[in-house]
Amino acid sequence: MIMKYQNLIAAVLFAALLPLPEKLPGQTSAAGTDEAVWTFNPASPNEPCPASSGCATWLAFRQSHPWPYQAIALEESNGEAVIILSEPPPVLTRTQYRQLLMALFASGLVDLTYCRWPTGIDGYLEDIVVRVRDNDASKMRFVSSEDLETKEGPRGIIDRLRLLYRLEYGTSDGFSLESVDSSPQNQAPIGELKIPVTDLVGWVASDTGQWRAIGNESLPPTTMSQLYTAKSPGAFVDNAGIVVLVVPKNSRLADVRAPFRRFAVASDLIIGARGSKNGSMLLFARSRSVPLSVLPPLRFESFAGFARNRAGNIAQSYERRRIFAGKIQTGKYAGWDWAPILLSPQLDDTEFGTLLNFADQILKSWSQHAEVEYYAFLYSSPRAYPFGDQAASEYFQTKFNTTSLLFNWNTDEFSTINRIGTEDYLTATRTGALRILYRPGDSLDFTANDESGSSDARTDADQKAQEAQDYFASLGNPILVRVVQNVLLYQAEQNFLTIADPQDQKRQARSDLVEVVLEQQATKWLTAAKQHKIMGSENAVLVDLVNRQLQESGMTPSELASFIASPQKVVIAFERMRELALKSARESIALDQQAEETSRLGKEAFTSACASVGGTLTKNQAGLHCEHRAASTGQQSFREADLLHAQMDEEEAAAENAAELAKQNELASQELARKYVKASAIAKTVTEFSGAADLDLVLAQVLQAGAGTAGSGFIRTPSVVLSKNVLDKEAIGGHNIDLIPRRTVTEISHSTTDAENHVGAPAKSRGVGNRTTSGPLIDVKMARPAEQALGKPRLGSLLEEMRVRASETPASFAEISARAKICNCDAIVSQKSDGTILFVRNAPPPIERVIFGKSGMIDALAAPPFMKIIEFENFDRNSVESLARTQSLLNSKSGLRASDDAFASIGKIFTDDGITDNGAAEILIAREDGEPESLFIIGGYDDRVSLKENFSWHGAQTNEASASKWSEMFGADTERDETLHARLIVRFGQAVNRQGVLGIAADGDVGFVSRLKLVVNQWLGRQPAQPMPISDSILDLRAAILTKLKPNHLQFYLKRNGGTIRAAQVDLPTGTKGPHT
Amino acid sequence: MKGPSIALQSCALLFGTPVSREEFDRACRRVPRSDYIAHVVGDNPEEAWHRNYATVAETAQELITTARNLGAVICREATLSDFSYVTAHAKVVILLAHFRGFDFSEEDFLSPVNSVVAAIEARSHPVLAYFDPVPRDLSLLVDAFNVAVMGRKLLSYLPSALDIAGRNSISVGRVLCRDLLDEALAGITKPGNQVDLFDGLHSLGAMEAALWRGFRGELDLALCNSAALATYIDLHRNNTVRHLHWPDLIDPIPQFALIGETLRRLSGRGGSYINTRLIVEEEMLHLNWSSNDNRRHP
Repeated sequence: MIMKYQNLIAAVLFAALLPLPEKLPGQTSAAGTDEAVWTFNPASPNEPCPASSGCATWLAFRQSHPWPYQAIALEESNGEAVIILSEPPPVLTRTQYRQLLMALFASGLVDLTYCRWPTGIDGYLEDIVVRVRDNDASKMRFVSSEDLETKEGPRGIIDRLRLLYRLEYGTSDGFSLESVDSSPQNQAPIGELKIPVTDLVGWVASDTGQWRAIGNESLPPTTMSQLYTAKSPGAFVDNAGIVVLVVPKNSRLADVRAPFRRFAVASDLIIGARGSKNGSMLLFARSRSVPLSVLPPLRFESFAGFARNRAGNIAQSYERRRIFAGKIQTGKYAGWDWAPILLSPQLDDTEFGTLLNFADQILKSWSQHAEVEYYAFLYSSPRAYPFGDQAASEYFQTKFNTTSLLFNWNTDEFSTINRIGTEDYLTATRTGALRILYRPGDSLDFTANDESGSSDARTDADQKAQEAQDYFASLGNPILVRVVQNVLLYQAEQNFLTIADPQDQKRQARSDLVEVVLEQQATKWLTAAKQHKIMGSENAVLVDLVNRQLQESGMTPSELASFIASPQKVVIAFERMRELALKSARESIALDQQAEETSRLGKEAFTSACASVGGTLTKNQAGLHCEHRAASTGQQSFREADLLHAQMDEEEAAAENAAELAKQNELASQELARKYVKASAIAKTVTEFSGAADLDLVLAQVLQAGAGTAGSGFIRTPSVVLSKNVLDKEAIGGHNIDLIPRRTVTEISHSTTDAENHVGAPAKSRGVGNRTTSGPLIDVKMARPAEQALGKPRLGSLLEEMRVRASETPASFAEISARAKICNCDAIVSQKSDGTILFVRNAPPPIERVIFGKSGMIDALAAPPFMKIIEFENFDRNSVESLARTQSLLNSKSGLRASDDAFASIGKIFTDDGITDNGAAEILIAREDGEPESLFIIGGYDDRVSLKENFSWHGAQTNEASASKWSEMFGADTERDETLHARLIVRFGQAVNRQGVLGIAADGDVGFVSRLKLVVNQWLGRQPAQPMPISDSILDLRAAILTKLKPNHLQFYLKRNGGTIRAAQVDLPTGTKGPHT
Repeated sequence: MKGPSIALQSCALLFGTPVSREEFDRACRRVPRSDYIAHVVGDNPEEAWHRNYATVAETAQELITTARNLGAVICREATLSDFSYVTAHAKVVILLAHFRGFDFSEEDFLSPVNSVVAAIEARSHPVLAYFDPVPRDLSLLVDAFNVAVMGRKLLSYLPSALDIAGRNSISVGRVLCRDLLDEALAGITKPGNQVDLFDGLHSLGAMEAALWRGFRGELDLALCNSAALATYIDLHRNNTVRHLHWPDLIDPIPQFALIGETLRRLSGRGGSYINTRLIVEEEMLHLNWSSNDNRRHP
């Protein structure tokens, strides 16, 4: 159907280059944009929508999805449809979207409106709402975002939306539509995953080779090792329900776009990432279980934004302690408290930035028993709150008599990067919510909290924070889950991704602009106060007080203004330093412990070495000493001890460094705290005093400063938050997100089974002289089954599984059927790379059938009519043998004659009855240009060598082989066959990528070997330059030798990849062709 | 056919059925009883023990002694996580357990007979149309279900590829028919076709999921009708797992003895477990050693 619109694509692209067309009738322009925009007013929710638009439909949609939500929704009735493009990806501007939609729907387009859903006082989520008329009654199927089932919709609209989708995402894979009335709020909570590194590494280590390319299912499955070395980005899925995005080093973002979309649609929760030594990044996620309408796909614009804006950490908070922040007395927002929002610049006008605002409010509001209300942030409340009927601040006040509370979402011990060998694995503790910090205190002077010595309060707060994290995670809230997803995505990119695209230029955060306004206002105001000038409605007594404190501090108004314009920045800086100090301290302790362990091992090794050289062990101030008379070679015994000693020194030095770093960060944080304490005393007065200033005016200036920074996308993050707090408590906090998680060096243990206790403990192993480990050993075999860990239980009936297989794309039999026609066999059983088994029987009656699993081969082949010659393609000989012998056994047990079916007959080959005296099994070589011939493969079949491989004879060299040379090449046991004393070795020209050798051994009189060489060389001279199947070549060469030299015994030895198989000629009785593998 | 010899330390035996008097008593005391115990013991554990289970346990003990002496890992009262663990750590895994099969018993109906009849007559699933008229008596209903399953009468309700697969294999055909009825009467019947371990019944999907993803060894599915589990594993693992399976009921006593002999030979000569096991089976067949009477199928 896409083909139908090829001309339309061209029209669309052309249209995008045209000047802005006339506006549609009935629309007005909004400030800051040339497009008509309608904004929902939460203060007046019943305000009517523009009558001509699909606004009412949009309102219903947005009320169900009041948070960042990117989708295409459709409502259709009576030949008209309303289409909602919620927060469309910023691949096109508003104008281009308009042009595109006009080109797509042409005269069918009735109305186009830009609708904004407010997030705070000046933030919004913007959608394009389109009404279209559709006269085409035909229907087509599409995937529903709600349940991933297919539904029917108007063909003309669906086709056009699919095209739009392709332009938006670079692929039409994952195209789905949502119904307007879907309500994710009625859906089950998003179940939480906890995937430790053991699971992830275990799944990766057990490389099943079953990764299928999403969007290109015709490609053969690939292995994890191949994914590591992939040259281009791609998205893959395996049978267990893991999806992986592969981004090789220096990929261009443009090339990642479509694979990322496939990954994002096919998955729901990121479970980890791997950074490989070759610079590639692998992002792992669970295959989608949560409907798209509950947890929409991650956005490529987020991925690209993170990649182009590297940072060590990001933050978001409500800056209640900035000057002029406080209650508005008059005007439109009278009664609300306002505060500037601090947001890292790369998060301005992004989904992630908006999500952080929502999550911050959820933490504060719900911890406070919903007694904090935020302006124009609409989301439903939970049934219960983390502190029960109490607010968190009441809880801590009652218990510890505290009057303030700091709330914080953070990443402390949330995620870890484990270095395992040369690879790094990022995993998180959970997917439901970030870590929480509660810090109750007597004031928001965090240093006072810190030094109050109230360890009970801190311990209790930590306990409550853990409980609260469990509570929030258990909600399965899409906002909190999405925050975690974005954090993991950003961390993975920050640490593992290398792209070819340049970094974005550093930009000023909107909150910095606000800070500038506040600083200017504060300077102005403080200067006036210093000069005893009265501005606005300030009280003269307070002006005197401020003036006196200003003088006492020795600060200029601008110095103080700089501080009080954003005191929370100091808090964040302080917390950051403390975190770094704690991180270093933890590392130091871990390294110390490691050094102790190394020292213990070193002593053991030294003691053991001393004993081994017959020495006497003594202890002195320097440590252990060994007196011995061993020669210098004896020193070798002490090598392990020496290495351990050196390693211990390294560890001790690293521990000291970490301790020093911790100390420096601690000192720096204390210095900052001291400054803060001084300044905050003044700031408190000044800020309280500033409440008397004209806050309406300040707020207007702040909003104006931010207004000029609107991006071209469809999301704007607010610069200011308005809230009402029923409780008279000071409360601050936000997000403190470290993008460089704690790193741990870890080893993989090699656990063993324990004969007595069936659950064996992992055996601890460590390499001498290696960099020490500081993380627990990982036993990859302790990884849980992926389905279990990923919460994807299967009903798991055979019926269910076979139905899935039967419903998959019908296998292509054409190629095999063509081969079967010329194979001179009764049937071909061919295994494809994805394990599908195709069975083609020639006659009578001819059939083509998919066999369900190799176990099903017994049944399929045992069914009448009896087949004598069956060619197996791509099967491991052992599997066929086991199945055949099993069937033979079963037939015998049930009284059937062993030759009653083909499998039983095949089984005879492998049993005593069927094996020839020399233990050979028969291999059928089917040649396109002749009758199939057979060879006996003598001895064990070697998987490293394949008779199906192509070899080039061009440039092959023939040499007579002495007994020793022959033995060296093919093994001593082959040399003992004294009857075959004429031996030639043919070295091939280059095979596919490595050389191989063919040995020819025959019996004959003196001089036979020379004649053999001559025949072989003549034969070589006739061979084409291109590689030929070795099976054909051997048969051909054998025929040439038999014709000219007539030896009684002739054997061929093929050596490749270190493996050898040995084939002997066989004369079959006339008219018989035995069964074959 | 000689392959590289395996160390028996890499061989693990999982017993999903009791192998001693203590385990037998413990299993009998468990509420609810496992499918196997309910099937084997009936109302009189003491009598059941003396009638036949003592011999089963005795043979199992001989196998355990043999296997332990040869260095194999023994896992008694095995659970699903044990299966997961041993497949991650051993190269040869022998699963000796009970398979709750496809045949129906009266205990399989969770609702009163009237409700079952009403559910069938509601024809909410096409396959239920097969039962016309619907027997009103529970025992007759069980008979009708068993006729439909054992006679593979319901295969025509399946896609043609499954129909053919079910017709080609008695075992798979019956499994599919039972699955189909369980699907049609979900919540009304207890599902069949599950592996019974000490932590309960596990679907084929659960068993396959518990099998370590990286398992590349040999798996002896020494349980009744294991063709279904083998097929499930094949389909999900794309035929990469090498296993030995049986399409019919198996008797534990000869199984234990044959496995013991297999392990002894393996210890002495090395090679592939499956090949060795098949050789032993083939030799036993020549001796006409196996007994068909007094079967206690696991």
